[in-house]
Amino acid sequence: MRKIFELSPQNLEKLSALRKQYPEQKAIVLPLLWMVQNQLSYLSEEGMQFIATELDVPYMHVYSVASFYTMFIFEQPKKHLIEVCRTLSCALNGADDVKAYFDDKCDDDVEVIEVECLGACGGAPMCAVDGKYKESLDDAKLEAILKELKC
Amino acid sequence: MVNISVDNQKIEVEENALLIKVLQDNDVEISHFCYHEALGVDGNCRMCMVEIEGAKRPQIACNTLCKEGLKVHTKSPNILKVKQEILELELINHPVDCPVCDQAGECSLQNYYMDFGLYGSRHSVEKTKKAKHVDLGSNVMLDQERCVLCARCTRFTQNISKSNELFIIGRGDQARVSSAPNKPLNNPYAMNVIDLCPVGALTSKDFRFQQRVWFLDSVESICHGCSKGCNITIDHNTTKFDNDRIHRYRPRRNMAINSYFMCDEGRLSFHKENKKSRHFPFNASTLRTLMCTDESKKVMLANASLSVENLSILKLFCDKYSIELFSLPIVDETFGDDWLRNSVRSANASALEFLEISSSYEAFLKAAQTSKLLININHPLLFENIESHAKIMHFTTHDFEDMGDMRNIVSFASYSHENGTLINSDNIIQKFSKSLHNIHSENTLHHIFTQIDNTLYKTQETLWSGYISKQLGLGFSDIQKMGTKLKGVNNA
Ligand code: SF4
Ligand code: SF4
Ligand code: FES
Ligand code: FES
Repeated sequence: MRKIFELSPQNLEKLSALRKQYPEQKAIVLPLLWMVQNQLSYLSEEGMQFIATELDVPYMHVYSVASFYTMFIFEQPKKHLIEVCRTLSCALNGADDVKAYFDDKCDDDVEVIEVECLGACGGAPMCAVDGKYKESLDDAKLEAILKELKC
Repeated sequence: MVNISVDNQKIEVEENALLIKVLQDNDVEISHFCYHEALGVDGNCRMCMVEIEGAKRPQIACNTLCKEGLKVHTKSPNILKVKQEILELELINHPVDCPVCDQAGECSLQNYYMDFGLYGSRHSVEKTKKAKHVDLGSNVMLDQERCVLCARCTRFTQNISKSNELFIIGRGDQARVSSAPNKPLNNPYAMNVIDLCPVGALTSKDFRFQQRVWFLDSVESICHGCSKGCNITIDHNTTKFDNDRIHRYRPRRNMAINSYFMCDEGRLSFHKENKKSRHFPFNASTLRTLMCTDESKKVMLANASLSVENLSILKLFCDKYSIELFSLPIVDETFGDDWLRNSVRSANASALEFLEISSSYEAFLKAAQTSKLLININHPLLFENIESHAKIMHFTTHDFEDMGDMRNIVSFASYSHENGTLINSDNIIQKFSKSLHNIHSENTLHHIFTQIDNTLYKTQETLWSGYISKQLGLGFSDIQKMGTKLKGVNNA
C-alpha cells in the first residue's frame, strides 16, 4: 500500500494558524515543507503530494520550490546531518577547510552537505549539526563536534 | 491610437499595445527568447532590450506599453553591446554543440549569436555539466545544457495544457528544466513544447537526427487527423536513393483555429502518408462498364476526409449514374476534448451537408443490403466488416488488411499528394497544398473519375466555378489565407 503522509497534531494546529495569516495559500508551501521535513527528516514524494493537495497547487510547484533550497533534502539522510555554510562570510573564513575536515574525518553515519547562508555570519565559519548551530569554528571546536557524534 | 517612433520611423499603434508585438507586426527584427504571443510576457531573458528615449537604462520591449510619443531605438550601438553581453552570459555554460544539434538552422540562440555575438570567447572557467539526454516522456528529449531557461515549456504545461509536468528546479548555475521523478511529461499536446523551445534543448524523438532543417522543403497544409483542421506546415524532401518523404508536421499559426499548436496524434499522423502502398492501376473502360452501364442498384461509400473537390466529383458522378452516395464521418468519443481535439475524426465531415451527401448510417446499411455493387472510396468500414453479398470495388490510398480479390482495387493519391479544400468543424473552409511528389506517382481521385466519364469537370478550377461555388455560396478565390467562415447550410 502507498504510504499516506499526515501532519502531526501540533503541525496541524500551526497550519490552520498559517492559513489565516496568509491570504495567498501558495505562501504556505515553505512552512509546510519544513513541517514535512521535520517530521520525516526528509521530503518524501507522499509528503510533497500532501502539500500539493492541501494547498491546491501542482505537485511540480512544490517540488520546484523545494529544489531551490539546498536545505531541503529528498532522500532519507544518514543518522547525523552536518550542514556547512558556504556563503560569503563563511567562505572567506575557511568554510572549505571545515567541509574538507568533516569529509575526511566523519564516518558513514554522518552526512555532510554544503548550504547557503544560515544567518549566523557573525560567527563565521559555522555549521549546523543536526540543526544546532556551531559557530566560530576552530580546530578544538571541530574536534569537539566529532567527539559528540562519536566518530 | 498613439504615435510612436521606432528607429526614426513613425508608427501609429493602439495605446498600451505591447511594444514587442508592435515591432513583430511591423517586421522590425527584435531578438527574444521568453516572450511568445500565446504564453504572454515573462521578462526573464532580457534579449528584447531596446533603447527608449528618456529612460536611463535599456528596457525590455516585451514589457513596455506604447504611449504617445514613445521613441524606441532597436539598433543603437549601446543596444548591440547589451545584447552581446547577454549572449556572452548565455554561453558561459552552453556546450556549443551546434554541429550535432537538431535545432541548428532554426535556433534563436544561434541566429542571435551570428547577429550580435562576441566571436572571440573570453571564458576560461570550466563549464557546469548537466544532463544531456533526459527523456521527458511523450517523445520529448531534453538537453539541459542547451537550455536558456526561458520557461516557455514550463509555462506551456502550466498555463496552456494545464498539466503542470515541467518546472524549473534548482537555482543559479544548477537551475534546469525538469519533470518530477516518476511523473513524466504526459498530455496529448506535449510535443508543442518542442516548437516553443527557441533553442535545441527540447527535441523530438521522432525527428531528431533525421534531417538537417535546411534541407527540408515546406508546404502549407491542414492536418487531416480530425475535423478541427489545425493548420500545419509539412516539411518534406527527397534525398538520394529515396522517395520524397515527409519528415515532420509543424503547427502553423492560425488564431481562429489552432493558434500556435496541434495535438501529438495529428503531429505524428504523417507517418501514414509516408507508408508505401502497392500501386493498383485503374482501367477506365473496365470501371465504366462496372459502374456506369448496367441498371442494377449501386451504392458508394466515401470517406468524409476527402477534399471538397473529391467529394464533389463523386457527388456529380453518382448523381449522373443513379448511384446512391453516402459518406459516414468517423466518430471517436474518446478523442475529443475542450480544446483542439474533436471527436469527429473525419477532416471534411462538415462538407457533407453543403454538398448534400447523406451521412445516415441506417440508410447506408439499408441501401447496402439490396445493392449489387458497393463502391468503397477509402472508407475503413468497408475495409473491415464486409457482410454484404454485393461485389465491392475498393478505391484506396493505403494497403489494408484483407485485400481479397485484388482485381477490385484501385489506388489513388492521399491528401499530401494533391491540392484541395476542407471545411472544419466550425464551418471554416481552408485550402491545403500538395507536398509529396513522387512517392508512388498515384492518380488523383479527380483524374480517375474524369477518365471514367470525360464529360465531368476536367480541372479543379472548372469544378469550382461550375459546381462547388454554387453549393458553398463562395468562389475559390474568396477563400482567405487563414480560411473563411461559411454560413451554415440552414441559415445560408
Ligand atoms: S527547455 Fe527550451 S523552452 Fe524550456 S526553458 Fe529551456 S530553452 Fe526554454
Ligand atoms: S486536433 Fe485534430 S486537426 Fe488538430 S492536430 Fe490534432 S488531429 Fe490534427
Ligand atoms: S555566510 Fe555563513 S552564516 Fe551567513
Ligand atoms: S522576450 Fe523580453 S525579456 Fe525575454
